[in-house]
Amino acid sequence: MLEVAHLDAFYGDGQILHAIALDAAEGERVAVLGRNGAGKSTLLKSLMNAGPRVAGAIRFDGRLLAEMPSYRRAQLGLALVPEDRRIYSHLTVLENIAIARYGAAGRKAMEPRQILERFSMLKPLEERYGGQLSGGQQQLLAVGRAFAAGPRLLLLDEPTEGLAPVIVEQMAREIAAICDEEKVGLVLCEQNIWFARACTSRLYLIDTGRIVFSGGWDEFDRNADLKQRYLAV
Amino acid sequence: MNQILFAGFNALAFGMSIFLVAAGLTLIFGILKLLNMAQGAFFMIGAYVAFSILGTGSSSFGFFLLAALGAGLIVALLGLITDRLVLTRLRHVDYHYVLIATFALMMVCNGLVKLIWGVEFVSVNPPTVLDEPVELGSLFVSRYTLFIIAAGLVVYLVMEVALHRLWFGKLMQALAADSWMAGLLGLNVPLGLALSVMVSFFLAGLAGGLLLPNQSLSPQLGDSYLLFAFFAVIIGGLGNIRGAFVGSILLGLVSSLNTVLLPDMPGIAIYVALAVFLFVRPTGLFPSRATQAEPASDEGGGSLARSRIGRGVWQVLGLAVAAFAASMPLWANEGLLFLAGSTLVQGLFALSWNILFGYAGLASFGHAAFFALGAYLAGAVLRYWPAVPFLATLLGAGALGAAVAFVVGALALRRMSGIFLAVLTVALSEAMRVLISYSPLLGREDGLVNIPRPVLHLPFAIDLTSSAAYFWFLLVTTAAIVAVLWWAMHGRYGRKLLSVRQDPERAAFLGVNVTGVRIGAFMLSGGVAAVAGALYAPWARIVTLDEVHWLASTQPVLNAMLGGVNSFWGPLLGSAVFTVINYGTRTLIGLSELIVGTILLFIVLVAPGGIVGVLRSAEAAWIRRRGGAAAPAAAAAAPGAGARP
Repeated sequence: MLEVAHLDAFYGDGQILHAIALDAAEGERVAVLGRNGAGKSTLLKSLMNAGPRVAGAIRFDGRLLAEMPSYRRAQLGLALVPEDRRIYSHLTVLENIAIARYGAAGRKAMEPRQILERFSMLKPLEERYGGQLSGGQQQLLAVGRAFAAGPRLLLLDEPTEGLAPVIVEQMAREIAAICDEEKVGLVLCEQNIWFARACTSRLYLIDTGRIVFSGGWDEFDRNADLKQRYLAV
Repeated sequence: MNQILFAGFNALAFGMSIFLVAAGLTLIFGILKLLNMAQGAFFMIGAYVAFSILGTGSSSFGFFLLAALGAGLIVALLGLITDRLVLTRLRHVDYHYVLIATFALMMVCNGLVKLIWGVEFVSVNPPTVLDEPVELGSLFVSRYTLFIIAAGLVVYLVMEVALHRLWFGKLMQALAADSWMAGLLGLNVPLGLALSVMVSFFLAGLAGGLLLPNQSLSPQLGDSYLLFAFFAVIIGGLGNIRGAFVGSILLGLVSSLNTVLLPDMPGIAIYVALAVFLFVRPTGLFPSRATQAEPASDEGGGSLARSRIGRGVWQVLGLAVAAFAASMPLWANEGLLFLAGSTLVQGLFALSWNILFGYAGLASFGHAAFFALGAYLAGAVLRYWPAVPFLATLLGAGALGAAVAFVVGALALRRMSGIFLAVLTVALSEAMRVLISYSPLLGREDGLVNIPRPVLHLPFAIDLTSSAAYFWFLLVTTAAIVAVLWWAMHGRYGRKLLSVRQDPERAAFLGVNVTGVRIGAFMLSGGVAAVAGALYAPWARIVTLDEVHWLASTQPVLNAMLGGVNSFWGPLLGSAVFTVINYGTRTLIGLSELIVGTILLFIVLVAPGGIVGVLRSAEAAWIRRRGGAAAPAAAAAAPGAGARP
């Protein structure tokens, strides 16, 4: 469904990503692991054309995205949840979810209330304004909001950052379940190996803007030095 | 009692007419963070369009409303064109460039209005139904005035409900709060922004149509309303409908009190009230977060750029230019010499503006106020007190300019927002204009004429009465001031200014007193501008209110942008080039606004680095091309030395 070939990305004159190749089949869930500053967020933003200047080919359903603006990509079914969440503080929780419906562009999508049911922690917060939520609640809302557009490929940027371990576990279960049910693919950028393993079937390792490993979790486990070399701080 | 009621009614009427203009201004600021300097001009176009539809005779109420709506729609279309051609290209640049672009747009609009509708005053009667007084308790008031008050209230209520109650308004607010995320969520951001621009322009056009009757319609209409609308949104808090509403009513009250208590000096109390208000509550009644945001700009390091061409080459070139200029009195005719001298003064003036913009990152849109301050001071002293030494007058002008800059800067820059400075400098030049026009000593509307040229009494006397002598004096003085400024800008002080321009927050963390540095830069800039004005008065031998006009304030902006704001020498170069352009188009009298505005707009959109910017990229390309061929050889000859040829 998503094919990325020879992707370079730049901020100003600085090149952040170098010749990235990455793909995800329909409904497939893959992880991108890497240290801080390895280029994970830039990769996801490049897929959405939401910031960096990009060269290379990004195909979605075989279609070259080229210069397509980010709102059109969202309408095709790409949904990015940025790491800083960006919940609208002047809207309630329900409205924050409802505003994402425009990304569905005619596709079948979950109703905002259904999403509240699915993410059970959000249910009691329905009428709360975005600005009144805690960081963890905002993170959950950001993920839930992405489903309102009926996405076909979810792009999650470090959803576990700053969350309590118990919430991380719950979130892993909920994301995996809802992706299975709604047949949504996932590209998950993470530093939390446990969480990434729980959500995905294979992984890429990214280091200083280059993909340095691609394969299944077994293969990753067999090469213990990978973790040492690219993820240990 | 009746008088108080009547004053209150007038206050409300005036307040509502200001609000009608301010509504669009504050809407577009709230959503796009864009202070539209051209809002008044588009308001005026709305009035003229309605005038073209209605004609001068009386009309029916329905036709009048239809004309106002039509004016709104046509101006909304102009807004769409403006958005496509200008605003969309400026979404990601430093907001000062957007201010300059809309300022240029204002001049283009003013020029076009003069071209299409002429400069004569016209007046239009209200529709027949509204054209008669009505008894309101013990008061007789005009129905039309009642209608304007009602229209203001309706516009306010509709906007409040639409923005805060309706889903559409919430979407708009989402766009305003975080358009990046809105795009990620699949909202058509470009469409939404274009729509909000169109709504804002529609409001401007509608206001023009509604306020057309009982005005004397002339190409100056936009200026005064723009200024009052600015004041209203600043008092209310930028980007906030309720703020604009309350601010407008407050302004109406102040202006009404002015007519009752100070009938001899109409229009002065508003400036005083604004200054006092800004001092007490700099963020306005309903502060919005938007005015606090001040992003770092990644450009601006260019002021420190060094040319690869050796310094010696430039020094020889500079001496050649100076020698050429110095030789001019020997061969040039009076007219040419006058142009050359005026170019020197304009160059210094533009340089003073660019110290503020290019180095400290703040834009003044009323810099002519400082120039006029110096010019009027020197003119008055030379005429009335010829015994005062001229050099002392020059110093006095500089000190006065700096002092006024200190007051304005202290008011505007306490909160770190250049937008306040932009508005306050505009206000300053308007206030100056109003004050001068009341002062018989300064010649009111006619200006100071027959200003004598001075004789310098150093240990020996130097008579500057002749054009040649005064030109040489101008050249020497300008060169001396430029040299001092060059030295200051290329040292520690200049670097401090640049650090504030590039990232005020980081500069503050590094221990730079950002507000202090900015006020200091503003004082330096205002002082130099005043000296330029003081040098100009005896050169032109006449100083008039034209010196405080918008156009005069735009000149340094244009010259600096034309030459290149990222270069010390840019403003001087730009002044010289503009003189040539102006000389070439001198037969097109009356089109000056249109020409100046169009050039400025063109520079901002196409070459924001000005002539120096274009030259620098040409030089860089040339060096790359040559370097590409030469590098392998150099690397082979001396490994490791290639990096610094």
